[in-house]
Amino acid sequence: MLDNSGKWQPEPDWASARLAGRTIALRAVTGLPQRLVSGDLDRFLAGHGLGKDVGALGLATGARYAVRLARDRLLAVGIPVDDGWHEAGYAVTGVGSALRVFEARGDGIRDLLARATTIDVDNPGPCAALSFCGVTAVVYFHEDTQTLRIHADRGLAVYLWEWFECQPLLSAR
Amino acid sequence: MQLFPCPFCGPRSETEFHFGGDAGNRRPEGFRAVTDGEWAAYLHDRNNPRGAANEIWMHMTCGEVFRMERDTVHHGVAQAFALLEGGGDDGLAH
Repeated sequence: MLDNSGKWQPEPDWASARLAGRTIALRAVTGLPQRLVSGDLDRFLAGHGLGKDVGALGLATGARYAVRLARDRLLAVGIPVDDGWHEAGYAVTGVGSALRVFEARGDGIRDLLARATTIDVDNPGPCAALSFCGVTAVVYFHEDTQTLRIHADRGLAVYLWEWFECQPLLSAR
Repeated sequence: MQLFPCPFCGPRSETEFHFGGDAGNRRPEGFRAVTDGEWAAYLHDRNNPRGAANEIWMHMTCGEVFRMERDTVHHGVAQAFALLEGGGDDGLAH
């Protein structure tokens, strides 16, 4: 009987999933409140005291920040706001369960970016949504430029993890 | 690798983009008044120029739809215009 389960590796226990190489370490970040905000982004940012949103490879700090995904859309992280339409001119959708978050840290971050993306690291642009090893992901630095956060669709997280495992930067093979 | 200019994100790899057809290929209006020839032309006829081309593209990662003028011989991109900002070839967003 056909058994497709053998073709795919099981999903890791994300709470304890870790990979470590010589210059880089990777873990999954769990429990991060994430919301998509569409519409009048300036009013959303001002209303929540967020200042400027973060673009591709931008530097986000703290537990509350906003990452730009498109001309009229951003990903709000750690911001308690009700889902639905807001009279200030924007709509909010909770996506905490839809996006898996990975955090890579170490001196090898630029090597990882070179393998996974085609982005110009010295001129990455205002939009953090980009192709990361073939998957559309949200990619930016968090707290410092040696810590990279990657948000990807939950359904593609195992593929992404397996891709990380295969990288010489992270592989013990 | 070829770089395309997304009007919002800036230069990105061509693999992040999807071709949306010739600019100005308007959907025929009129429902029953539209002939099968007009409908077939809308669906299937393409300009396929040698040289300067005027096309609609979508940047898949951010969803930006834009018009791009490029050359099909040397693949150089002349300009890109956001449709959201009135960059359609008739000056209208459509």
